[in-house]
Amino acid sequence: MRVLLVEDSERLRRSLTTALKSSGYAVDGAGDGEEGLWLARAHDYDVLVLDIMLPGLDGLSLLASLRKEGNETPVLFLTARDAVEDRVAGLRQGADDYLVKPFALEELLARVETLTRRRYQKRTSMVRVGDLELNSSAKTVSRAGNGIQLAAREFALLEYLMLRSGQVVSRTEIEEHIYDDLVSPMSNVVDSAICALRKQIAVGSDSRPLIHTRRGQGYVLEDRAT
Amino acid sequence: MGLLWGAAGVVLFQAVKRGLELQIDSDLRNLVGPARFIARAHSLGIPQQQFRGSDLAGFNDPDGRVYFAAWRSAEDTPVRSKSLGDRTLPRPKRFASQGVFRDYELANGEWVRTLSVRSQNPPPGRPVGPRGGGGPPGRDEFSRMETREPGRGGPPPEDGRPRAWPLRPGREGGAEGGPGHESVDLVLAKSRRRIDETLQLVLGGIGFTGIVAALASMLLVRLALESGLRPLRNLGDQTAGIDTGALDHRFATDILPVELRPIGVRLNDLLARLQQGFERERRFGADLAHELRTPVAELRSMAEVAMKWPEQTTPENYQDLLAISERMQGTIENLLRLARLENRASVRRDETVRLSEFLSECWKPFSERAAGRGLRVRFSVSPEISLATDPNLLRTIASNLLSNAAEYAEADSEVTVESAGSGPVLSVCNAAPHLSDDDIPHLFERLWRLDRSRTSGSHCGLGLALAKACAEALDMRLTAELKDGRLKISLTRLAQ
Repeated sequence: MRVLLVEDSERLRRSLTTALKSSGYAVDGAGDGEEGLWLARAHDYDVLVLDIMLPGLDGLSLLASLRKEGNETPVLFLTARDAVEDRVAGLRQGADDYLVKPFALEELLARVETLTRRRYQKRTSMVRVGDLELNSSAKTVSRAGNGIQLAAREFALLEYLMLRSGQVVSRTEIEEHIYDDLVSPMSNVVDSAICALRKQIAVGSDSRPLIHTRRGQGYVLEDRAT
Repeated sequence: MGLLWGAAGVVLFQAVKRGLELQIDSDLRNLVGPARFIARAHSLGIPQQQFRGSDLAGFNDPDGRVYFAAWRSAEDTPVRSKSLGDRTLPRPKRFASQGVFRDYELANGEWVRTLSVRSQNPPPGRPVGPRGGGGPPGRDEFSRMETREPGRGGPPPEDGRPRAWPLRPGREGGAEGGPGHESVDLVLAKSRRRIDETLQLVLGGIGFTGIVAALASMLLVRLALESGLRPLRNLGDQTAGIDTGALDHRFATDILPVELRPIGVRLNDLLARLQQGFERERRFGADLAHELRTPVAELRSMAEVAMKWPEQTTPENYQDLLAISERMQGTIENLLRLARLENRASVRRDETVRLSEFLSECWKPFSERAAGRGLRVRFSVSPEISLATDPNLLRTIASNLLSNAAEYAEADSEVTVESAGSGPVLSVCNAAPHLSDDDIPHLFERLWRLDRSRTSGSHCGLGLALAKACAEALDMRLTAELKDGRLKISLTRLAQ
């Protein structure tokens, strides 16, 4: 899952980036509204976390521009403005959630996770494909009752594939949603990660393969036995 | 009001009393003639049986309430009216031409009004009869004699009855009259019972009327006050209903009585000022909360990240924590200092300050930042200028002005710091292309910043407000003007 964090406080942006990345998100950060708008237009993010009072272009205007262009990415406003009229203005502008500073980090992560699920029409944090289960809140994965330990990025990749189970997911989409700008587009990091993930979720010799390759198109995660 | 009613009652009572006493005095004067007649007749040994009842004027009636006593000059025993019985009247020692009136209490406790007169009787040898014959005179002779006695020579009364003699006085002090004349001291008295009863009635009436009038007055005054003060009470009720959440309330002055209109207008002015003050404080509170929310959020998120992912913690995080703490501390200290300055709680300690050296010293902390932004600084301060002022307050002003210039002046532009012998004590001028004329009135407001989103850096929007308060503490003022895209902030003495 890829998140854009637009926050003018460099220290807050840095610590939130650390927290989101540690939670398995790919995070891009911007310190002003104009850069944030550019990034939101350039990438397909799963969640936008926006401050309202931003230098250059404020968060409300940024969101208005995105909605006007048809961008439906879920948006969480993160701001020091706590007046009811500020919240109402933000929500009416098209924001999906609103969090007032200072906030609990766990609450921010939970809200981001909720917005991520909402994007993929999931109402619970539990995703099942065949005998593979993933709990996005507890960050746990199990198959046929056997727990699987995954690194944050592997967890994010599996979650993305499971949320889009039955759909072909291209390498570009995986790069967009799982990796941040630091990943070179020419690298085979996606193929390597898929290969590693296949091994991780094959808990026994009788485990059916769930991640399938569509040559020239990408990957599909589905339980073909059903 | 009570005093007025009391005074009116006293005046009325005294008027009635005086009128009644004049009446009784008049009655006493009218009794002088009959009394003298009787006394004269008594001295001549004429029996009273020969008098008509009307001639006795009630002096023989024990219940007549009129009395007299007459003393011949040579005698101590008076001739008394039968009505006096065994009581006595005091022999007068002092006389006046119109007689002397006084009140006297008889032995039986009855109060009487007395008239004392002295008159002259004809010489004892003078024939008293109508033709000078011997024997007691008849009634007609007495009547003629007595009516002639005053010596006025006027005609006798038509009805032939004795009339009151004009009070021809003897010589004052009771001296004898003319040669051959015998003086008679006469005291007439009339009971005061009737006039005292009348006065009692009048007094009771006045008292009753006074009480009724006082009660009625109280009622009327109360009703009048209630009616008259109703608009004031309504105004008070409306005022009592105004709390800090309803400071936009205004009194409808056009429906107030003319007398209360100025009060309504003043109250509206007061409400407007209070509303502005409360709005300013509310905005300040909100701004302050906003100002502190971001650093608190920074601190909290950093702490939570460090606890959740300790491996992510770096020395840089601790530097950040220190910077955030210092910034919050600076904000709090500035706020406290601002509050002390605005309450005039700080003591001013003036010293002689050499301005050129002082400003150079103030500029040092910002020179690196200014150089990094390509700013050129030109000091135009005469070395001999010195001020008698509080250096701490002046340093706060200068540091804030120079710090703002170093931070917000357009990059690669010139900053001018000037001070001359006359004119502003200090002025700092720099290019400020992002400022507009609308921003100038807000420059000295607490927590105001051109870019409201700027949450990082060392500036929290209190600097110019603090500088303004310091200037006021130094009896100076800070003014700002924007001309041709250049902001000039000047510190001037109030006298200038």
